[in-house]
Amino acid sequence: MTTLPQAPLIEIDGFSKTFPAQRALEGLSLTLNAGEIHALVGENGSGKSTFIKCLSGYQAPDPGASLRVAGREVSLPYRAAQAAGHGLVFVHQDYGIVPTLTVMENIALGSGFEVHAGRIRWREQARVATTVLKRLGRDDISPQTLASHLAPSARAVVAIARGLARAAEGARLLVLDEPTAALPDAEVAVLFDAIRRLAEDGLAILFVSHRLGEIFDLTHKVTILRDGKKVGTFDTAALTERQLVGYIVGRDLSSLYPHLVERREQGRLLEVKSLTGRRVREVTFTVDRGEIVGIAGLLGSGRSELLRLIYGAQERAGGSVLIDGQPSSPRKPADGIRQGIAMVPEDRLRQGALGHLTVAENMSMPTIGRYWRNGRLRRREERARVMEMMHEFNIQPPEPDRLMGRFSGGNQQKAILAKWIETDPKVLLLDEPVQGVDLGSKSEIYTTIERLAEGRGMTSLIVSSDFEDLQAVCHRVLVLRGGMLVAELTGAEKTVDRMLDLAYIGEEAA
Amino acid sequence: MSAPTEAAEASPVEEPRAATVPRTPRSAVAARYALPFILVVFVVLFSALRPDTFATAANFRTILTQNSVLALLAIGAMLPLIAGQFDLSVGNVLGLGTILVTGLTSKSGLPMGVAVISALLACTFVGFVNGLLVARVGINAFVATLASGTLLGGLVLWYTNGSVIVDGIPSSLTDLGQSTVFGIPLAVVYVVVAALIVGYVLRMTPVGRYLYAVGGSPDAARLAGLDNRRLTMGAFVVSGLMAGIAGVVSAAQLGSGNPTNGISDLLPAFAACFLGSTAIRPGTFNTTGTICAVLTIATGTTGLELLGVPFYIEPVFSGSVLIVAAFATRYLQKEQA
Repeated sequence: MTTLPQAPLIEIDGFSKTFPAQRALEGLSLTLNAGEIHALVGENGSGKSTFIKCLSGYQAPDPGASLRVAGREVSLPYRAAQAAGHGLVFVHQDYGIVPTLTVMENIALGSGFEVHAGRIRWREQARVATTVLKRLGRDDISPQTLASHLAPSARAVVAIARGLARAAEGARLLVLDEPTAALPDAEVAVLFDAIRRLAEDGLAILFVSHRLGEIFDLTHKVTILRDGKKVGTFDTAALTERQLVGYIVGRDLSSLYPHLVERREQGRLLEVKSLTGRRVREVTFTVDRGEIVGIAGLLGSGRSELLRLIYGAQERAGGSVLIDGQPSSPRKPADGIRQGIAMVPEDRLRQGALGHLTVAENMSMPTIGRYWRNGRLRRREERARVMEMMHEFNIQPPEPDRLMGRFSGGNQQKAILAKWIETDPKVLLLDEPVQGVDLGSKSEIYTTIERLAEGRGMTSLIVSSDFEDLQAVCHRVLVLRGGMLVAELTGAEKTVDRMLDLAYIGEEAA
Repeated sequence: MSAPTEAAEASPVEEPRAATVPRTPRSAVAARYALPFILVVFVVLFSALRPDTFATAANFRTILTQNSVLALLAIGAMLPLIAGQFDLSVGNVLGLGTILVTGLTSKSGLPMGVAVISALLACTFVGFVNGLLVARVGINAFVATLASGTLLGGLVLWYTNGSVIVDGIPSSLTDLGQSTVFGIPLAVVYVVVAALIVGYVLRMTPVGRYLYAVGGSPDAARLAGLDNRRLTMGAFVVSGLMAGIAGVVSAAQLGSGNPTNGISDLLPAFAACFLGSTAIRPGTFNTTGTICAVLTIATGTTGLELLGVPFYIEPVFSGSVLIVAAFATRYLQKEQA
């Protein structure tokens, strides 16, 4: 790294936040230099979100905090709308892009429209949009494009552009809160280019992510939070992945992943023959009982569709599936469940969790019939069973009556997994099961899958964008490309590089 | 439980340990019982202010009887709301029930029982068609039921030629709405029975749980194996049936068939559902809350009228209560988060 002679651009000191029940954040101090990309990591509940809410003005930090931007003291607390005025720009996980508006309209939502005599000056508006997009190296995005037509990474770029446009007196700090959570791997690089460009431009970047690979890829420094306290700030290059994980979870994880047990021969369970859907074409493979099979592929490779076709969530255009030698052709998810299939869907917020219901109601949804006896629901029994499951799967806090939507991502995902395990499925389909999930939960989820494969002979198919995960937790990996099965990797062949080659190029890299 | 080994195994029915049972924040409890509390306050307050007119058995009976039709309608309209839909046709379906039961007895001379059953079947069928349009065809519920309701209004005008059916309504029909058992008006009995059945289904059966699931997140519900279409259909069918029952009871109470009957009940019924969703299980439509809401508004209005407040107080009062209750719930829920 180059040495920077001047004082730090951003000086954050003594940020604390106390809630009635707990101290969520304790005296966090952080300095960022111009041009620095600084990662902020920590498990769910480590105080990361609280810190960002305080910094963005959504919550007031406890008295005693101080913030200096470019050497100037900022008086705390300020309202969220004032953050941009201090040069602080925030881009949140979901980007907040309105899909039905154009790029320039989305950008103007932040900074206001260019108005002349009450009429929006569209040409001027387009110019403003282009200028700020150019700064991000993305003046190829036309201001008149409808946001819904943009690639996910372009949406992220527009969200950043909007933030920059809002900071009228110049942006100093850009905070990106899990900006890659909704991005396919292939698009992450595009976003990173834009981020690096801004750093070179003299901004400080605070980058929040669960994905370790990205942190090593992108950032210069990393600050780790745990239980509301700062563990430390390190030069990213001086850390190993193992060390970083150790700091994050606060215990020596001998490995992120469970130890992959050598599989016992337990016979064939699942046979998929020429399965065809909209994207998926003529996919054929078999899976043994107790086997964990990964499905690698890019977004649009048909990997999610493959799971939906097996589960009955999408109509098949052809092909057949046998489970235990019996034909299985579910026409709706209920049929699939009856035949011993379960699916953890990709989109947790919309498809996995019933946010309006309690976690207990979520967890007993497919098995509620068990508590329905003599004309009434045995609620007490249901609740007791849910409590057991919450302990078994370490779902925090263990409050069965808490609304599902108020749990963290990792705990929601564990609850969803527990819900399906409770149906005792023969085949468990998992679509991006650890996306947006903290490291501790991630490790727990994989350990559970491993344990059930070994103990109950449960078969799992795992779709993941994280090929490293697939390499570590799967006995075998299938690679899909353009809806076709292009390879099966086992043993020494099952490497991240091979998966990437095959997923992108579809054939041997020479 | 003699063998200790068994006790260790038999954990599933055990209540969770005290240490892990979460405490309910006080504000959440307040939010839950604010509406019933207001109802009690109204009863006590008006009884104290107007002991001769308000605190009489006759007055309470009148309040209950006069609002039974609205309560029946609200209970029905609540079901599509729970399933995440709207049934804007309930007012017109109520009208259809009224007109059919009076018309079939007086104009066509059918026996009372046959007329009632035909009216209820017709109303249930309307609910079924609404369900088809929404769950099968996939038309937005707002649009579908607005259309079917409007259409029904027209059909009723055609059938009655716009005039009120008054002649030849048998006393066997009016008895259905006006007689009492053990001093309790029959109409009130209907409400209690309907509320108990719907409340039972919602709270004590898997179907109830499924309905709330579909209403909250339809995609997730489908992937969890629920049959969204059938649940939605069911909600509309019962909504139609309940509106029909409300229509028959209304006809029996009034002893006549007014072609515009029911239309003015649509919005109060929805208001009762929404007001009810601020109580008991805040943020969730529930039967007890809905009944509470109907009673609170009725008691408040009657009390104010007896104090000499002019007649237009009712809508002003209902509107204000709805806003205040929604505001209070929002505030109390925020506080607990």
